[in-house]
Amino acid sequence: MKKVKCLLCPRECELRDGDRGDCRARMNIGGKLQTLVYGKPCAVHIDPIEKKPFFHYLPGTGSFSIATAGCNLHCMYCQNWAISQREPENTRNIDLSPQQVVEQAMAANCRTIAYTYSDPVIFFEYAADIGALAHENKLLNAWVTAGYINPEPLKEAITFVDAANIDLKGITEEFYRTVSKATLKPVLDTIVTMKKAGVWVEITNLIVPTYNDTEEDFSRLCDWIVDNVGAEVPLHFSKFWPMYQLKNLPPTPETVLTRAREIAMAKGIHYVYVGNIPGHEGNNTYCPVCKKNIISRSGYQILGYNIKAGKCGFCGHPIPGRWE
Amino acid sequence: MFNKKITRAEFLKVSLIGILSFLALPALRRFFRKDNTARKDARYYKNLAG
Repeated sequence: MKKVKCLLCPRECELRDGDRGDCRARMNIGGKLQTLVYGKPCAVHIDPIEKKPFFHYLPGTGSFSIATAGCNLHCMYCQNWAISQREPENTRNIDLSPQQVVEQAMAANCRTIAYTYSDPVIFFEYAADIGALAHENKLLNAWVTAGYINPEPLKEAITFVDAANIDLKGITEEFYRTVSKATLKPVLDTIVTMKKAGVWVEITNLIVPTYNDTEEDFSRLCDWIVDNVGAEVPLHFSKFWPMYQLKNLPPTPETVLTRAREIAMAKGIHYVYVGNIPGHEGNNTYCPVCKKNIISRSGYQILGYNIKAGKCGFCGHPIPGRWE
Repeated sequence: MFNKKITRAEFLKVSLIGILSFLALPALRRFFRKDNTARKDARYYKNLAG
């Protein structure tokens, strides 16, 4: 039967000849597991790095952003479902070798290559080859990921990933099982492993009304962050927009996002942001010591910047991140 | 030339060509579709017995 077991992510799909993984991007062809998306991105854009979101990593720079079809999670609210929940045959792909990705990123004056929109885990081989070439050319690699990956490939990813925004979608196994058809534990392990390995980590939590929007949810999530990766890890609360299978829900009210931010700050997290609401106070970076606004933003746009040599321009307190 | 009357036969002929084209184009696309997926060896898997 030439059956194989994919060991890339915790799903560990067992595939008979001709079967495709749950991610739709990997297939057993004659007893060999093959990737169907290598060199075939379906999305290529130059975005501000703030869009990922990274707020403490080379602010104000462009990020050459790529994605392929497929995903190993199936979130009911996926904002990019048109590519993440499709087979690569059903997206419009272009041919772009790792060498071409790096060349185009350099030509566009980008400092980073972002692996985003879907999830770099499912185009691991492509991301790994681009990542190595990027380093040779002094570009940095930024993953935007759900962190649903097995320890062995994660160990390899850490050798070429410089920054990761990890989507911590909820803080209960039930949320992951119901909404994302996945499990929580491997995601938490990925966050801890990446942080320990020195990868720059920021965490995003999309607040979905009625699913993960209680004060208890926010408290548990923040407690876990403080206890396991520390209060210096930036945390982004994002506004949900009705999409895909959750069109019946309303967008996250601003008051809920503001409350989540208040709770996170009360728990001691230093850098807490509110996303998808331009002009909100939570778009800005405040110094945790002197409390002054050191990076003023509206959405992805930087309006004011007062960090000097990695320190608060007002009081000199070191601000974690990569600033130059 | 705009005053020329179209005969019933001409009208039917042109309509038929139009309908056939409408039906044939998606079918042709299906036969000549370019495979836009890659085939490259993946890593992180193991072969299972049986």
